Amino acid sequence: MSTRLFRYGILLVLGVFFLLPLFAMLEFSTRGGLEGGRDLSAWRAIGDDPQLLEAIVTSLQLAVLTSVLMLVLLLPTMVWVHLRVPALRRVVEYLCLLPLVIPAVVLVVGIAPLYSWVTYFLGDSALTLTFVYVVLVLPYAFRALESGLTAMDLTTLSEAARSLGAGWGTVLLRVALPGVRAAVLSAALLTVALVLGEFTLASLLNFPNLQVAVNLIGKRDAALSIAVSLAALLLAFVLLLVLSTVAGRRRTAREVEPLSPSPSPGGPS
Amino acid sequence: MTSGAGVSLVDLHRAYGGVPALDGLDLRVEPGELVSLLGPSGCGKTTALRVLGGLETVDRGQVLVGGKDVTGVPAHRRDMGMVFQAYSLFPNLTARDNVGFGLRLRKVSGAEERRRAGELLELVGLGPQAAKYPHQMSGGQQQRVALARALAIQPRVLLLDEPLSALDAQVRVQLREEIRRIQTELAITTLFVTHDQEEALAISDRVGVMSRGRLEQLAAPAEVYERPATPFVAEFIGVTNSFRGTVADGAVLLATGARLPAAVVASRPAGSAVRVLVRPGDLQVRADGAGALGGVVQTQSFLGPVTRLGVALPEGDVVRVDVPSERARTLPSGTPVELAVDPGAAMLAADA
Repeated sequence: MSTRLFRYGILLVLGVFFLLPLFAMLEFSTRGGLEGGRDLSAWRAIGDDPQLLEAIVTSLQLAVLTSVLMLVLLLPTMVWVHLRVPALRRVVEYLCLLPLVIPAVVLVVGIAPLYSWVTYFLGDSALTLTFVYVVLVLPYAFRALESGLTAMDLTTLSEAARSLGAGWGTVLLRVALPGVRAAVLSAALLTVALVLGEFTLASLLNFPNLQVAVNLIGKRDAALSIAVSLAALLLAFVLLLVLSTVAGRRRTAREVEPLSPSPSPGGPS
Repeated sequence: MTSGAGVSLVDLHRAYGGVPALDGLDLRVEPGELVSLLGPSGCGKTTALRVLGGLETVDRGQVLVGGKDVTGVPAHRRDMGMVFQAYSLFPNLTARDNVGFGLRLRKVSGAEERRRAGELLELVGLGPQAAKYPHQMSGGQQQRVALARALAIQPRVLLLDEPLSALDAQVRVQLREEIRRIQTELAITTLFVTHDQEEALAISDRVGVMSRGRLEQLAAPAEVYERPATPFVAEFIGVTNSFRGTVADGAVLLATGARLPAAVVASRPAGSAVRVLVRPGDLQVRADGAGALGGVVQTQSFLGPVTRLGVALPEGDVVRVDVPSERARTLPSGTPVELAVDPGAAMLAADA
């Protein structure tokens, strides 16, 4: 009984710790000026600020582009390394985890000169941030995809596909990709969450994304900037919830009727 | 529906980090024949199968299928159906779609694909399970679907890489008989790799026993069992008792002074050291005291129609002897017995 109380106690404390700031944001962004009461004008203003809307669109486009480029680069590379050069797995892992230990400020110092070339060739669109964001999401995306790839018996499945007449492209698209669907989804959503919340690189490289805009607005309209921040946070939260529900449902389905164990014997008879 | 092509593996060499897995392997499989490759782990049997399937390359040698050299042809252009030891169905596809996978790659029309997939699932006895996903099927069912999938592409050769070793004993026996039935029905050339000799002896036209990357013997199951070509085969196939001694007048003189009659040592000079092997079924328990070896029954293992006795010889070695189970009941532990051996039954061991 006491352990149960303890458990609920911890849950309550943590709940308050995480939810209180959110509640405070909601309270602040709906505060009704001098006359008091509740007022949704800050939330309504989200749709009225063209600069903000532009920044939201830019950030959403960046999220999509980064997810796509990350998957196009990382998935085939990882599948190739898993199947053909497993000796390189550690090297690839090390490279992918590097951005985690390099602070964004340091990263930007190195990347800024490169970006003068990027803008020279591709123009100064904020969408060019995609390149540096791909680097930034590598550690998270790598982990997600790696766990998906190690969970399936990719070697056997790809050999089976090849013996049935599949070339490497088919193996990638029709065997590896469906097999790591949940991991791809998870990597993509982590990317989306990270890109929607990114401030440092965009700000230092002078590109107006959502967080940069929120920061600017904060200087003139605090309530609006808080409303936008909360909305962005809720969007990311909903995305992650969708992910865990989808992944969770798949897992339960497999637990009820156990998934085929790949290298070990067993399974229901 | 399908008919197989002949296969020749010619002088195959393959080494991993200096250790040879295949060391001059030569093997010919006739069209429509089922050949099993049997051997201890590391003998190169799986490498040989994977080389034939195009999943491994060779350092030297040639792979011929239907008389054509396919040594450099990649796996996906070899038209070989393969069933693996690990469950290898695509988890996101139903049984029917798994079977149809190879047909879709061959641009077979949707209707034709469904028809053939259905037909093959019927053949392996899983017609009603067509809509199930791999995780909804048992291990045995998954391997049947894998077999149907391998057969769907009408392969020139069927390659089975220990497909039964992850299954429980009963399913294993059932499925191996089914594999043999289907193989005979379709007359498809099949290479079957296993470490289970009972399995290999039960379903093969010929059994190839491999050791250290080479073929020791390739012959019909009965011949491999009864007339092993090399001492390695004699020792590897079946359970054997081993006796060490010196040659003396058409027999082996053991250290205890007992004489074991063995025709195989007749050509050896008297006094030379030898080791001979005798199967448990070739020893008889004699009640009249006329046996060559005296000992005491120590253990009994009931194997159904026969019971295997462990008979302890005076110097401590234990000899295994098969006797009819009915007889074994009269020979409880502690019973002194005499063992006789048929002079023609003894085989020479590898280090003899």
